[in-house]
Amino acid sequence: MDAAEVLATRAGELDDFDSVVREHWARVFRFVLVSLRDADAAATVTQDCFVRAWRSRDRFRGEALVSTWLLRIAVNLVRDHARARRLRFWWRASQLVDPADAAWVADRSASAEARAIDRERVAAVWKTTRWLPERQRTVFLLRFVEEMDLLEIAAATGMAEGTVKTHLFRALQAVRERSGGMQ
Amino acid sequence: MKAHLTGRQVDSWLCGDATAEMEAHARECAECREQVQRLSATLRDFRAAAVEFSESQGGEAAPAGWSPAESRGFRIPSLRWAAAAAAVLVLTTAVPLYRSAQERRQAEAAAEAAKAARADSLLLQEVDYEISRAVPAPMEPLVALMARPNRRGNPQRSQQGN
Repeated sequence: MDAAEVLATRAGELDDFDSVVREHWARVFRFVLVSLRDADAAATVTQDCFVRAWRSRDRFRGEALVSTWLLRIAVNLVRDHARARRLRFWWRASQLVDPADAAWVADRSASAEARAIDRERVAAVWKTTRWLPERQRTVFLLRFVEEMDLLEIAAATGMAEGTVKTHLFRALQAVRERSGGMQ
Repeated sequence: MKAHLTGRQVDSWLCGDATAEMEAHARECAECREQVQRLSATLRDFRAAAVEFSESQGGEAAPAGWSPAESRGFRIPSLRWAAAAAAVLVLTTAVPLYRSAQERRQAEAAAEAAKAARADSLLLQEVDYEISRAVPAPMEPLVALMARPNRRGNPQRSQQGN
């Protein structure tokens, strides 16, 4: 399959938009939720993401994966929503859901004490990502929750690959230092 | 590679950029190996927790029957709230300010009118006084002298009048 066929195939995925919604909803919602930590806002922003994708589907040429294209729209909407939220004087940070309190960890540890330590480390990651600067958080979540590589993250955020790497390393350093990693 | 892995090298490893040299060191150094394994496990657990958290918040699928083609589109509530807040702000600040300015203008106009009325009244009193003079102004001292009482308390009279 040559490059032109790849582009055409990707663009053709949008012909069945209901399938696109079914296939990518969970991923977009998850990214928005862990970014905003507000389930109602995440549902609204996710809907808006797909509405915008639907309206601009004619402009999608298949240069990126459909998932990357959708996450790029989601990244912009999350940023806009977070900024609008900061301007709302009646909004309280305590409204946020804190998944750190109920952080799930794999049951691979030999003892209850070791599991508790694992849980604390995951909770530390949640807390750290909450206070990371916006771009560092976005890059970190795309890498370690959505498991995107640096090029995909660059496409989803509109940053250069080197910039993505810089933000990712800074975020990792913060996570490492707060979750018991080496200094 | 004798020295332990630096933080930057660990970050590179976690991003999937471990070099052969770093891997060789980790095979020999239990401390560095344990650090990388522990951080990798924490990040895997974090992802698993994020997936579970998302599913617990109803994020597995779009709402039943929802379609972007039939959606009303831009529905971020924050913007609607912002518009409503702006409208309330205008009503609660701009309208009283406008009313206050209007009332101040009316009070100033009333004060001007009262001042003009007082000036007109004084002018009319002066005109009435001028009109009601019995003799021309230069003769008034003479008339006043004639009207002064004598020692017995009677006004002075002309000899011709006796």
